[in-house]
Amino acid sequence: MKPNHFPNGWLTATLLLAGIAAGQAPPGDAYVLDLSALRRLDPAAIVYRQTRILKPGRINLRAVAALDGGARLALAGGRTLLLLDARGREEVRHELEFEPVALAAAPDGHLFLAASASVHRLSADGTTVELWRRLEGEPQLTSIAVSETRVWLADGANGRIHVFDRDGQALPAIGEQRDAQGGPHFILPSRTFDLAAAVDGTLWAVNPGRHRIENYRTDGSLASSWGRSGARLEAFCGCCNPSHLAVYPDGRFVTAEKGLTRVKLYDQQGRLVGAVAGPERLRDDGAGLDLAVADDGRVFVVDAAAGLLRVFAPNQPVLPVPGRQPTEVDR
Amino acid sequence: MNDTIANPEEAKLPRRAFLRHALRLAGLVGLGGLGLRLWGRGAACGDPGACTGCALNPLCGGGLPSSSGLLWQIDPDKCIQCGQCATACVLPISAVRCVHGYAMCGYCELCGGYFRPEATVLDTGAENHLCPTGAVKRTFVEDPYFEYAIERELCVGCGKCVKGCGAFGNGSLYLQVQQDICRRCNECAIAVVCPANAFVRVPHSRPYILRGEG
Repeated sequence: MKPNHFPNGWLTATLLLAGIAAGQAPPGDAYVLDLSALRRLDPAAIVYRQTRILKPGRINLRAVAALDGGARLALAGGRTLLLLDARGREEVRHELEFEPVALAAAPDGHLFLAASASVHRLSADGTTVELWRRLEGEPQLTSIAVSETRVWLADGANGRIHVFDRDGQALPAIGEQRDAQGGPHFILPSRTFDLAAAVDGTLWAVNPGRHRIENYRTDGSLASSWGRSGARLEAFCGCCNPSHLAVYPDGRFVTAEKGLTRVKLYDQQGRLVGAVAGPERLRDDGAGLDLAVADDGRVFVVDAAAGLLRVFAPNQPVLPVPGRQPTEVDR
Repeated sequence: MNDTIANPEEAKLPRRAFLRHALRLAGLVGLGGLGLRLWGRGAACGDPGACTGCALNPLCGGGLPSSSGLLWQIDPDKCIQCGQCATACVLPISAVRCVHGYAMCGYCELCGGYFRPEATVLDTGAENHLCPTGAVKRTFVEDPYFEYAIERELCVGCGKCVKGCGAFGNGSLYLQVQQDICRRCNECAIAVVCPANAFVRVPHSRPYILRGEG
C-alpha cells in the first residue's frame, strides 16, 4: 500500500505557521516594565474629591498661595501675579519685571514672592510689588516660607535654606553644615526643594533625595523628620520626592510627588491618611505640583502641565481650627 | 482524430494525487518563504566579516555598511521601551543595549532603573532587581549617592531600566544600537516592529544619539 503523505504535509504547514507566529510574539513581562498598576490608585484610598477647576487666562501657572486662610488665592506664572477672590474671579493682575517661582502668605496677610535670586513683597493694599531682599552669589530659589519672625528661602542650586528675620537681616543658613558622613544635608537630584511654615513658627522642609520631610526650629536646628522611600502609597516614590509640601493649621501634611504624580494627606505624625489625587487626574511636566491648603480643608494643586488650578475638598468634613472664623468658600 | 482521447478517465489526475501535489507545492512555497525570511534577517548568512557583498538577497545588508551609507540608531526621545528590541533583533542577543548618560544621573539611592517598584528594601538583593539579567550594577559612592553602571555583556536591550529611570528619575538610562554588534541589515528587523518609529538612520560620523553631553 502506498504510504499516505497527507498528514505530513499538514504537519509541515502547521509547523511553518507556528514558527512564523512565534517569531512575531510580543515580548513577555520579563522584558516589559508595566507601570499601569502603579498609576491606578485604589479608589478606597482617595479621601478627597475634585470640586473645581480654575483655568486662569494669560498665565503660565506655576505657583499658588492661599490668602486669608484660603478665602482668596494668589497665583503666579511667567511674569504675572494674579489675585483671585473666593469665587475664583480675578481681582488684581500684576505684570512684573521678574518671574516669581514661589509664593508664600505671611501670618499677617502679606504676600511674599520669590524670584530666582530675589524676594519681593506685595504691598498691604495689594497695589504694588516691591523688592524686599536681593540675594548674593548665584542662588536658584525654589520656595519661600514666612512666619511671624522668619523668612526662609530654599536655594536649589546650593542645597541650603537661607534664613532672614522679618526685617531682612540674614541669619545662619540651614543645610550648610555637612552631615556625619561629610555629605551634603539636602539631596536635590532634580532641584525640587519646597518649604512650608507651621503655625507654631517652625519650618517644614522637604529633603527629596532622602525622601524625608524635616522640621527645623527657629534657631535652624533640626527638630524631627519623617518619611520613607518606596512606590507604595504611604512612601515617597522615585529619585526625589516629595517635590512639594503644604501644612494645615492643625499640623497635618499634604504632599505632592512628581514622576508618579500623587498628592497625599498625612497626619501630624507622618502616617498616611489617604490620597487627594493620583496619576489618573494629575500630569507632571517635571517641575512638580505646587500646593496650598485652606483652613476649611481644601487643597489647591497647580497642574502646570494642563495650565489648571485643581481644587479638592475632603470627603469628610474638617473640624474647624480654633481661633479661625469660617471662610466664605465656593464648593 | 489522433487528438481524441480514447478514455477521458485516464487523463484525469486522481483526486488524492492532486491534493498531494498541491500540499507539496504549498509546503515548498512555505519553506521557500521561510528561507527567504531567515536569509533576509541574516540568519542564513554567516559571519558578517566574511560577507562578500554578493547582493543575492536584496533585503540583506550582509554586515556591510548599508548602501545608503547610514547606520541604524534609536532616538531616545521617541523610544517607549516596549521591550521588542530584546526580541526582534536578528541576533540571538540583541544589538540594542542600555547606555548611561552619567551627566544626567542623580546617583539616587532609590533608582527607578535599578529597583523593582515593589521593592521594600533598598539593597542589592536579586529579588529587588528590575533588570531581568542583573546587568545594572550599583556601587556606593557616598551617603546617599550610588553609581549605576550597565554591564554590556549581560544587557539584552529590553529597556525595563530605561522605563523605570524615565518614570521616576532623570532619564539618564536609554537604549542605543551598539554599532560594533549590529549586523546593519538594510531592513532592520527591530525597526520594522518598533511601534514608536524610534529607529532612525544616522551617519557613520555620528553613530550614536547621546544624552547628557551638552
